[in-house]
Amino acid sequence: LRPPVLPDDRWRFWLRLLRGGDILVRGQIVEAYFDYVLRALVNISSNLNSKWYSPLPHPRVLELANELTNIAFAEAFAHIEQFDETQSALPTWIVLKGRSRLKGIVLKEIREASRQSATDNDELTQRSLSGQLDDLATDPAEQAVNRVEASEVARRVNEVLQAMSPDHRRALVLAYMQPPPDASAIAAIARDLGKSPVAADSLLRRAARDFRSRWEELKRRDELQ
Amino acid sequence: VILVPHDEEIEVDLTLNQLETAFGSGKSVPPDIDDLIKQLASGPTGLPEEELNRLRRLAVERLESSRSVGELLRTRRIALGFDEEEVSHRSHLRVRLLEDLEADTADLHEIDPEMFGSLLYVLGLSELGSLETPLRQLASVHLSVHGSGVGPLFGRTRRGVGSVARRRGLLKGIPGHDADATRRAVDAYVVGVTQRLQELASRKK
Repeated sequence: LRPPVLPDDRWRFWLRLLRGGDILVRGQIVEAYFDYVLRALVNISSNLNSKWYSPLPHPRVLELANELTNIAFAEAFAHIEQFDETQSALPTWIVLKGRSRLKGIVLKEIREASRQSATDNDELTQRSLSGQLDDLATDPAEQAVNRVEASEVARRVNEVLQAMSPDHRRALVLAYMQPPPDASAIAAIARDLGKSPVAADSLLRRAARDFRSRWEELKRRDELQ
Repeated sequence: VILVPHDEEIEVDLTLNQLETAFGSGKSVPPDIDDLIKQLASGPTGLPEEELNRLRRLAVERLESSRSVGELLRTRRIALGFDEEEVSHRSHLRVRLLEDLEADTADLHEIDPEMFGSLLYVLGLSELGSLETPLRQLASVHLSVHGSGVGPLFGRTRRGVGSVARRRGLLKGIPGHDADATRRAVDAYVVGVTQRLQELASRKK
């Protein structure tokens, strides 16, 4: 296996070309960051599959992650005007583009495989059947409303997260990136913050409480205005 | 037995759902996200290197558009903010040839692979990448080889008719197109360009 591939700063130069309408630079970006994006999406997809007691075999997860990766690059190139380099690196944003399609591609197949394997986990079956993890709207009008609401929620969530302590913020974002929070997510938070799993679990709960109280405060403030 | 989630668990779920609503579409980005993604990308995947290489190659191939070599080069030059004279000066390619190349009217017989490689290098490329397929298509027309027996071809130069069009017109209807030899000529051209790019890149290192 290759050593971990970490992104460099070449994207800053390539971004200018991408925005200038260059097509050849797309090949350079894929060549440079494909491994990075694929690796991240394989791990995100694997975490999701694990949460559902791994109904998909690993080779299938790899195939789906590869599909996500290709979609991620295509969407990033098509909507490059949305990218804000002050918020994240370009390879990060491409990974997030792929993650945004996780539900429609990976989760959909996981749920299907879970149903077919007649899972003995009642809780997961209930969650999958209730559509708790699947918020894909099919009606275009509903999708448009969702998009507007999502952008408003994003503004508020960002405001709340920025006001939180770095540890709390990091715990929540880490848990968010490992959907949904389970033992492996707690272990990841514990590793990242150098804490025991028990301490990480407690930190996540405190962070959520902190978030909710700040959120309510922000809501009250917005209502007053 | 019905398990009722603890209030704190509900709180965590609600919070993460809100994060999902905020960031799930990929349009907004959570704070401090670069490090986290780097961590995820550093984890093991179980993908052998050859497979990774194959998937990467396929991804680059999928990007190819129907654009011509000339259009790809022109958009690249403009995005870099170079004018034709500057590129010509740096790559030692005559302005007229660069203009023809960008207008898809150049004759590859006039631009040897080394020169083409130098041009690409000046345009900031270190490998052919997604330009390879359009270049192969162009080269297979320009470097088309005809079997023996055709003999020398003579034709008048006419205004507005380029060398490629003239050669194609003269050879029209003449049998003996050698597909294998054409493929070899195209391969040799592409290899020549690639080697030049590698040579220039290694010099820089």
